[in-house]
Amino acid sequence: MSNGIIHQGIEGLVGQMERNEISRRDFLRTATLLGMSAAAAYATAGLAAPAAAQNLPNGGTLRIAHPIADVSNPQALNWFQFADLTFPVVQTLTRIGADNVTRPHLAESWAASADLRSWTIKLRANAKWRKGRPFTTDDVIWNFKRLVDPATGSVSLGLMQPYLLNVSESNGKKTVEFWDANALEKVDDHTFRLNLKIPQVTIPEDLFTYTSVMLDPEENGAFGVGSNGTGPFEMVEFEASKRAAYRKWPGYWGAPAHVDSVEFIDFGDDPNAAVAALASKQVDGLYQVAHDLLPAVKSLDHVNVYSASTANNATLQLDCTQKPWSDPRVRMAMRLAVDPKKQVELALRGLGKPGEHHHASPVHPDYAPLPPFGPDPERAKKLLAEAGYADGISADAYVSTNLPWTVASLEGMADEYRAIGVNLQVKPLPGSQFWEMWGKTPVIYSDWSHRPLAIQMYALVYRTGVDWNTPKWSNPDFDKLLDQASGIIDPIKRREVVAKMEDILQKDGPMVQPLWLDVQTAYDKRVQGFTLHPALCIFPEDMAISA
Amino acid sequence: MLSFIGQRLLQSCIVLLACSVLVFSITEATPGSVARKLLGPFANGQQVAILTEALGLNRPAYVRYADWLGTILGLTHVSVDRSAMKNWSLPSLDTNTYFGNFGYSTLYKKPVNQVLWDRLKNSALLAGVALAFIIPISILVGVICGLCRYSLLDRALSIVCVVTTAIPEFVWGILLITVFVLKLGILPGTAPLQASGDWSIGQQLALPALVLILFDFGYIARIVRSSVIEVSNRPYVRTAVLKGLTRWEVVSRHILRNAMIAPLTVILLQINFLISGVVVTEVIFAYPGFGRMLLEAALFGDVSIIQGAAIVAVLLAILTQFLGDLGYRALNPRMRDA
Repeated sequence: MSNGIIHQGIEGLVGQMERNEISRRDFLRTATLLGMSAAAAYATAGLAAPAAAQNLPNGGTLRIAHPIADVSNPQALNWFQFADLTFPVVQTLTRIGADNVTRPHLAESWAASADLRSWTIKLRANAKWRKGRPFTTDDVIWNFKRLVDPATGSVSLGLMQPYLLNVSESNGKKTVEFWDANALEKVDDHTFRLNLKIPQVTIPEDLFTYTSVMLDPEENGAFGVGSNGTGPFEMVEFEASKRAAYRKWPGYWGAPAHVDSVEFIDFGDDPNAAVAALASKQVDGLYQVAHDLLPAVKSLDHVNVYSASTANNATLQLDCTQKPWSDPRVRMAMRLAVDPKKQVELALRGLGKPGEHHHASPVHPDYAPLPPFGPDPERAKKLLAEAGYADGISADAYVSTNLPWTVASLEGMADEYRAIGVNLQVKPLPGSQFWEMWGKTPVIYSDWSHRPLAIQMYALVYRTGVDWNTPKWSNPDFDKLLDQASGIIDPIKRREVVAKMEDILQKDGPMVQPLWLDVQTAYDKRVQGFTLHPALCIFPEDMAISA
Repeated sequence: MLSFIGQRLLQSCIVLLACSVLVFSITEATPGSVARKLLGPFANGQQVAILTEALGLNRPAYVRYADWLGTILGLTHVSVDRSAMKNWSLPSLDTNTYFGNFGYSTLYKKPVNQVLWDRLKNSALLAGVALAFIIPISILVGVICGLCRYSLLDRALSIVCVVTTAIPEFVWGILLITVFVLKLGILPGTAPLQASGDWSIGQQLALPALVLILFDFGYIARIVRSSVIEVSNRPYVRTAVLKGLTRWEVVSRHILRNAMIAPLTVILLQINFLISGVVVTEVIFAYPGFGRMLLEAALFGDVSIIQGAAIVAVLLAILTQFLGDLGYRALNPRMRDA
């Protein structure tokens, strides 16, 4: 144990693993969440820990084709992908690796109370800001307060709201305060404690949310070229839609980066351009390879292609406060009409997994298999008739053209809906206009990034009243089960609760979820140390490039 | 001459003013709010409302048009009450008062002028390289075809011209990338104009310029050909031949000069197209030019860039037309007396 305290839940987990009641992966993930070091957890599970690449060459410039958007407020980012532009400079307290195991990062260790309501987090004593000052608890407290301030506009607010905050709203103005004066407690200069309203097992994973980066209070949260940070690089150039460049910080408090500099280059909206750049060695790697370009990338002799199954997905959200979607039978009919297997073939060329309309993925450790669900167009038609829509329904469904696979998927679903009398008019919109419609239109097809646990996704999207619950769905039983699941250590018991939530979503949920997306990327064979993260995170300090 | 220039300047101002009304009205009619675009999709309604108020976006359209025009003319500037936005890390939207101030880009997070002129410069570079080949090649091919009209050579070159022009830019782009990047590996597949890679700027310019040359030269060559044929049939050419001038003297003194009057306008129009309208080529090769900027701004909904770029594109069109008129007058003495 990194802090000398063994959480009592870990002993139970060891026993469960030894009795083959839980998998070694389940043990690894849960034991590390409870504060066991990854190395110790791997050893206890009898598994070999993923070894960091040895004897990597030093020097050179790593160039990656990557979209470049404004990141001047890292705590209010909207997309995981743009954290790649901030992570080299500013860091999170924890980090979830490509193996889905949570490890300390700016934090050195953590320990949870038996009831999971008190989390003591110890910071690394040697961590420091590039401008020389040590990284301390005061920095963390300042950042936590900024994260939960509605004026910051951070998604972290919604994430921490259930367990750390009291939120009230009057005249459209949101007021937020910590649920208790001692909710965020400074223990000493390198230790702080979170005292929670309800038990929560996902705290270490929540600390890796892409918005939870630690900014320098002395710079008042401003971020840009030359900004102070605790990370291994300094940003030296930034131009939205064009280029972001970073220089290695030789005095980095942790293991120094292998490469001297990193460049992210934006090749625009045409994914072919990035592939052409990789082909002509103008870049060493890509953020992501679109499914239709995979054969072309695979034909390049000088690149390695990486692929991973993830919990990235898209859902057709149906506004539960508006007719006809307010009727659960209609929403159920919409789910039953869709054949997920067909969707995976049509939209992803087979590079994905069928969805089960409950937003828990087989890659999630808390996923619970349910009996097969649909497709059943005949039953869907009957449900529509029962709900009073025997003559069918017509509606507009919006989708972003930024992700061509979502357009293909929605068009495929629209075809299937015609068979049950639902005329869904697909309305593709450029990203900017699409996000204008998000939360305002009754039917919208929206993509979601990978999250390590299903209950994290549930807390962000399906809990009553949270910002991202745009269909305004509310199910008190679901909320209660979510609170319950968030406080359960035992993976089997948590899975049992998640199974109930999955069932509720399948029967009453506000969305149709047809597929899970496999992700692919490609790097020049000269690039070493790269591992494909399920959320597609890029950590350049782990990578090296040979001459 | 002075009165001609004065007249044209006055007309240009009227056209620009009319275009400014048109551009502002069209962007006004597009969906989406500037405040939402600045804050991102997940900003709450309260944040959007605060910024809408701070930027004065809730004022009547005609007031904002007058403000916009005043900002461009350097009579006023955008001012923002930032007191309600303490945590927002918003860029400094307040801009100075100067002539040609097109405001602030919500996409590129910098004053429109910094983006616009940089992109215009890049597109001018690409257009310059392309035109350096297009003009001599198309004139040479057009004159050869015109002088050898209906011969086998004329027919062969005409087919080449028609085919190269008929093939869309994106097809040329993919074709050239396949050959020169994927098969031969002798040129880079994109042109981000960054010298830090293994490819020089010159090498990066090669493929996008080649696409433009292949796409454009045939069209101008066909115009030159028609003009040469038309001029060759004129009585003064016949007189020159009958006077016993050599073929070279007839071509250089009497045919070429007169045959260039019509193509001159077309070439000048091509400058306008090559600088502000080469969207497809710039996107295929990730070229940081004016056309790609306009597309990105349109997709993002960056109203300031769209408005500024539209005005500059109109200005460019007016300028090239003006130069065309001057050239026309220089080549055609009758126009000078008109």
